[in-house]
Amino acid sequence: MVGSPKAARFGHAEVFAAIGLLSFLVARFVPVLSVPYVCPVRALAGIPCATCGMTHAFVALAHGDPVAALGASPLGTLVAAAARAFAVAALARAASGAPWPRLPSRAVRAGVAAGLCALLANWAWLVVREVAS
Amino acid sequence: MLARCARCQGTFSTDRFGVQRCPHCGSEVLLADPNAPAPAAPEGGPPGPPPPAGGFGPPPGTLPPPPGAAPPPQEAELPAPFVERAQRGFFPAFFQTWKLSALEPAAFFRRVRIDQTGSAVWFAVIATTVGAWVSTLFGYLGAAGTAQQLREALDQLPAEAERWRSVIEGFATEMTVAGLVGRLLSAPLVSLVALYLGAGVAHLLLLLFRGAQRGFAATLTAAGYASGLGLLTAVPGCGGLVAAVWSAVVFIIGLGATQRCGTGKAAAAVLLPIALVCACGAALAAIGIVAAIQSASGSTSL
Repeated sequence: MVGSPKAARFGHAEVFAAIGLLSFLVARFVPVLSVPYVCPVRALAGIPCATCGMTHAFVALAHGDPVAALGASPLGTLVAAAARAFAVAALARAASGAPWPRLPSRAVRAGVAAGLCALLANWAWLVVREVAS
Repeated sequence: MLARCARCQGTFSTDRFGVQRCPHCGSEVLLADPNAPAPAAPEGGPPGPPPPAGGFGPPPGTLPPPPGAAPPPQEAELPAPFVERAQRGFFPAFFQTWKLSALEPAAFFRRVRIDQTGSAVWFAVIATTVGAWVSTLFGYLGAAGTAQQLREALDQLPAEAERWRSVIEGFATEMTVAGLVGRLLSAPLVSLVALYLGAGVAHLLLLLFRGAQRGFAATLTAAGYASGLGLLTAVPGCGGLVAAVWSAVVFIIGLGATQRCGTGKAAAAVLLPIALVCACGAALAAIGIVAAIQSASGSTSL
């Protein structure tokens, strides 16, 4: 995915960039929050799940309201921002023809571990906030 | 003499050696002449692995290795039958690939080429889209009346059950014609996005476990052909559950084979997200049950 010798082709990285762009377009122009959906875990236990609030965060960030996005889900805000930044980076890379930078495997592993910790921390924050309110 | 096709495993009678066509699936089958002189090794290096004879599976005319025998050190990688759909025909190629990935995942994924991810993605999108279409239509036909009954039952529940109303309303909304059309139209795109996101998550976890030596293409190949089991969601009733469990098993086997990382790391990469979701769900359900019991006991004592 990263560091492909054929820098100009539409590869897997570009598919992920397209998904990031699609997430922005859906959050910006499709009324996803009007769909009457409740997280089954929240409906059953009355407590949010680890990914609760992500849709609200994506939509709020797409409408230029980072404060509301962070209030809905800090991790969702981070993921939404990262997805859109990756889409912009893919466009810039396609325009320039430069290859993707090759990340050291140790840095990738550290990033994945940090992501897992962030998911658990985000969930703990959501639960504490729900219980406190 | 009796020969066996390596791809479809069908047997047929023939009276000559050499290259010939399997009468069952049309694959080329090479029957080596045991009396022919051994070919001289090319100069400048050791002889390479024998050419693949007729596709996946053991070479024709040979007995399978005994149980516990070590696998050959190197096997030539082959394109999946679906990659050759132009020559084989679309439906035969699709169902041969489906059969191989579902019933012989270890042999199939060990030898499938990982540089043809476009066909794997196309295979997955077709299978999961068709499964989603059929299950959506079945759900629409069967649940329209159920939603109305649920609404009527909801009106008779106490106020404590108010939070269920939005769940039921959401369920009923999905059963409208607009919801049906939306789900049918979005199914291919949802399938594609779900495939890439699922493969991406598994690949990231495999990187964490130091098991992704062959790159994202190997993970996507395994995820794509394993997603072919999504076709089973078309079966009413238990089809979705069977498809989920079976495709997870095939994905684990396939990921271990395509990445050459072993089943343990592959299972960890595939099952960790599922375990996380189940653990969170179980923990939250336990909290909810305890809270409900405490609430009930408190109201009783009053």
